[in-house]
Amino acid sequence: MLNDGEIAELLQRAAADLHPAVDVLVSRAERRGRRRRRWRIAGIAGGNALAVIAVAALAYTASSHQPSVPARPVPGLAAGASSSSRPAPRPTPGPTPGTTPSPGKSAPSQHPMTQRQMLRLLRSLLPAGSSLSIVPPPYGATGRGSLEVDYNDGQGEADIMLDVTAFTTVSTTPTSSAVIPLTCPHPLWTNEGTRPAGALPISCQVRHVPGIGLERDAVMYADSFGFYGINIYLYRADHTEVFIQVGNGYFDPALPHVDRARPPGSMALWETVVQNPAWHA
Amino acid sequence: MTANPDDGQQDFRDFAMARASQLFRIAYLMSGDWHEAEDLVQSTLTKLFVAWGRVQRRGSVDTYARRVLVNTYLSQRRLRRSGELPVADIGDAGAPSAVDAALRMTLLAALRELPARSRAVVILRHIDDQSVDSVAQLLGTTPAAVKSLNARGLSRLRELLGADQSLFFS
Repeated sequence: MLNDGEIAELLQRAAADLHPAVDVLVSRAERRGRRRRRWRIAGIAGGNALAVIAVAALAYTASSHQPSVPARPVPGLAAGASSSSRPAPRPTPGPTPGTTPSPGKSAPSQHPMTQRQMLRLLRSLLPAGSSLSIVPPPYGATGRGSLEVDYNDGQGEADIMLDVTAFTTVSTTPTSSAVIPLTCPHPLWTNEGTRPAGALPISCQVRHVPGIGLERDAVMYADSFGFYGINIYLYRADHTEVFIQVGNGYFDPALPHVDRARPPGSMALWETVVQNPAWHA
Repeated sequence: MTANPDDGQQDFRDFAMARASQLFRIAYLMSGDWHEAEDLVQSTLTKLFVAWGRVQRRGSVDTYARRVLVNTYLSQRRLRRSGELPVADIGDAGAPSAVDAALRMTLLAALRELPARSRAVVILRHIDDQSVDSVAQLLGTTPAAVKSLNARGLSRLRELLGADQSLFFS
């Protein structure tokens, strides 16, 4: 029989050559942490288990996906929004390294999108006459696959965060060992502060988007500043996660400034944006 | 929303880069799953990032990180017990090398037989070299309970691994 010291030695040996992609883990944690800190959103909260769906199980092939999932037309969409960069609000400590796709077998093969590519695509999907300006570091998201912009549709500025990353497995239950639970909390969230008059009601639904993947569409609770947003996660069958949050205000520079009752656009518009197949990780 | 998002960002990164591998080892042996371990570490570091200023001021960063990791793991275990369903495995391209792979698989299988808390205690004690008192603090229990969980865990591992000794010392 093994003695205690030998068992300890075996444990040490078993763990010795485990080498996770530390830079990816840290960069993702920073990005998610930054998002949480700014939005005061606890992320995807637990809820009743629905069913486990591995995206790998969805009927999908790259050959059928790309040509068959064109971007849905956006009502009122014309030449697209204009965009610009604005100077950093204060000296920056340097950009946070971007993330790279996680190593799942079916991870997309393209390079993660640059901010410039993301901005260009986002701009092309938004109504003409609106404007976009990148929120620079340290407050804005940085690196490939991550973009934060101030968006103005003519009715007030709104903060938009957009992430496009690779993932391995997603499930609609918080209880599985899968990497990402995609659920709605029951009951739904509770406002921390006062929701502006005329605000969208809190809502959440997880659904299967035929030919594309799993999507969670939510209108979040208001934080203590009355700040809330439309929040969409799309987990595509090609293992690309597209995430967007569209607020009812902007950050100035770190505190939310609510300047409108509702986020710009509609849930349908932002669903169309995230479902555009041109996003890639 | 009053915290400055820039507080200690570089300090956080330095800490996370230095500790993530060890946190991952703990998470991997506890969960037995590469992706779940990544998720546990990512969740832990995300929470740490959000609370960084406060945690750092208290000088308890290591303890906080381990506590979050272990509690997140144990919470998931509790949830899984009532609702676990199979999830398709879509690959382990980032999985460890073949070195000691057989040992690791055998050990993971044995660890899986231990109750979650006992498994956590054994790993924290013998992979992370945490003291009995420290593990008790992390788990919110007494040193006596930790000693008991550790003894029972090692005893069970001894039973499970006994027949495979030759594998380990070949």
